[in-house]
Amino acid sequence: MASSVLGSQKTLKILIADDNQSDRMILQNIVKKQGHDTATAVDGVDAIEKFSEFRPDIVLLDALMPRMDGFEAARKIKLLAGEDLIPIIFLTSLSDAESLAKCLEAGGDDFLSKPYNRIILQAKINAFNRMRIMHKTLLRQRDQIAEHNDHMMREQQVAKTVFDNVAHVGCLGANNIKHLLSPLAVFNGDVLLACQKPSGGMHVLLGDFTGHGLPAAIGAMPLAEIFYGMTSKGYALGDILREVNQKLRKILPVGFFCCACMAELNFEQEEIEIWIGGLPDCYLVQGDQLLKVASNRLPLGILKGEAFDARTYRFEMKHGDRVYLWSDGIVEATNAKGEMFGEKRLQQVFEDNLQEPNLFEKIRRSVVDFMGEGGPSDDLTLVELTMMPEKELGIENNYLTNTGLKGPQHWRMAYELCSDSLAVFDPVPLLLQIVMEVPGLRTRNGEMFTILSELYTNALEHGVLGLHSKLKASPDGFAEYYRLREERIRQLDGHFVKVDVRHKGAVAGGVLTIRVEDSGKGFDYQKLDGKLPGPTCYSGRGTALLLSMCSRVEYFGQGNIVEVDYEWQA
Amino acid sequence: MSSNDLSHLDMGALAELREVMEDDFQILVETFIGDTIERMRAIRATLDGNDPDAFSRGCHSIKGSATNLGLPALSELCRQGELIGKFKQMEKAREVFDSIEREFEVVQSLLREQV
Repeated sequence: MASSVLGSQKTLKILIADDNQSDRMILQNIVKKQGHDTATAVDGVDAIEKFSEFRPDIVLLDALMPRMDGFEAARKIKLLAGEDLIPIIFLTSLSDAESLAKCLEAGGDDFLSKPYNRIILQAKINAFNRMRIMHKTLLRQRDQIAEHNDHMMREQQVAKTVFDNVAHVGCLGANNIKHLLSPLAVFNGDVLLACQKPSGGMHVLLGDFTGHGLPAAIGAMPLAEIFYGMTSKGYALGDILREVNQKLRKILPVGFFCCACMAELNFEQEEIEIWIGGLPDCYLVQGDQLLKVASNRLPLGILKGEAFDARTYRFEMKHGDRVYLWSDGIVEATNAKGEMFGEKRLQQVFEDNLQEPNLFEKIRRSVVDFMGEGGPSDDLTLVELTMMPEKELGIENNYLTNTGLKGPQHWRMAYELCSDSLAVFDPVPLLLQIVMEVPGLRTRNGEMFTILSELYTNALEHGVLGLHSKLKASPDGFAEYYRLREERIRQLDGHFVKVDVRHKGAVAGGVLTIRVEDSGKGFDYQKLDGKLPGPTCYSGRGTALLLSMCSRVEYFGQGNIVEVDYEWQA
Repeated sequence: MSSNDLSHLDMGALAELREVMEDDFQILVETFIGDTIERMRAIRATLDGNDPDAFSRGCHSIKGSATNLGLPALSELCRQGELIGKFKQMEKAREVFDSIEREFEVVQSLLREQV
């Protein structure tokens, strides 16, 4: 007996339907000898019944039989088999082409002519068994793919929900922000974040992650966390970018990164600071002037910490001036002819519409019209930021959610920063974070930041470094001040700044006492003697500023110790 | 092709059948003979010429098993009978039927000798 090819020696169940008893006997003997199980049927009706009972893997079916012929039986069997592949081999002594074609049309997969040849029959059974296994594998994999796809969609939904909760705590609703962002933005990799700074002003970040779907969403999480966390703790733009860059570089696989543009809007000074890496150039509209801001840095998540370049542009930006940011979706928007919208067309839209109050809508319209019907308009990300007085932003200065915890009411902490650490570390965000643990103080984020920052800067610059604020009065003195600062900050051995913070809770509010001591020479505070410096002397020891917020400002020792009380009511 | 040119038994085919059937070879032969007698009786009933399709089907059926049993002459005669029925030339039916009957008599005894 010939051995099987490809080792498909598995026992198969084979149904033999033939009205001719001697033919049936021969087939049954051949098939059994090859190691398969058989069942037999004497006509078409019997074949269908036996098919349902026996669930064969392969059917051998005589074409001409009484009651129901093989053609009809084949059609019924294929119907019963559903999407399973049950090969049907027609048994026939018919030899004209038309009859053989009829066998295949009825759903037969092959035919076997009389006299039966056992070698050919075995080869056919093996071939169809391989096909049957392949078909089963295909169905199983199809079902697996469908299942995995469902699973992935569910996961993406969850990821999007989590992401929305992380990313949308900011102030995207402020009156100075207009944006167009796909509702499925997390899946096209674009992220827009905006957050107010505790000392006033606003940070905005537009990011475009390489890749779509989960990799982009995963990268966007720490980006949003760091951006919101650090901005509301008072960190500077450069520090935030460095931190994000380092984090993304650590977590994203090679080849994945985040093209980004980060801007700081200073509403008081009417200034904008911009860092742009990897995103297309952005545009600044200053009055009737158009200024292109060239993208000049590498995307976030590529360079090592020390090589990362956080240097920024600074522009004057009067109230009413606007800046436009976008990801490459706008530039690469494609029309039916396969042409891209491109930078040239975009610049033309700006030049033609500089005076147009709704320039944002003009740009959007131009791109959508260019793409024509059915363009993928959900891939477009466009942001407009307008400079305006901070009080017109239309948002609460506090969006930090209350944790619901009562937090510490009575506590005290002491923190001392020594020697060269004074030159490299800014302890204000850290101190602010501790103070913010008192829920009632969270809404006073801005004031807290200003007080801590003022006290610490005084202690370091006037106290430790002995710089005289009078220097700052003239432009030359301003430069000299910073030159001296640079020089002295390298000789800090034995110096320190001690910060002592106490909080005492009351029924509905409390008192925060901050005492700062430095290792400097102090100053003759007796001179102040109740006559506090007027508003023109802001560069004194900031006493006026402190007094505008604190109920008590008191100096001790030789003027190197200051203590303030900040009283708050819920 | 005339049935006279063909042998009654295809000895090669029979040898192979014997190998496949082993102990069941005798049963196979008896089953074939029994079935064919039945079928001949059914075909005889159609010789009046009213149902050429039934005549054709009967011949077709014997043709199939004769082919499998290695009986080339009988198989060829049945093929002729099948065509006569198919083309409704029933005037030729009796002559072919008689030939089939004679050939069946011959192979019957030859087959039994083989057992």
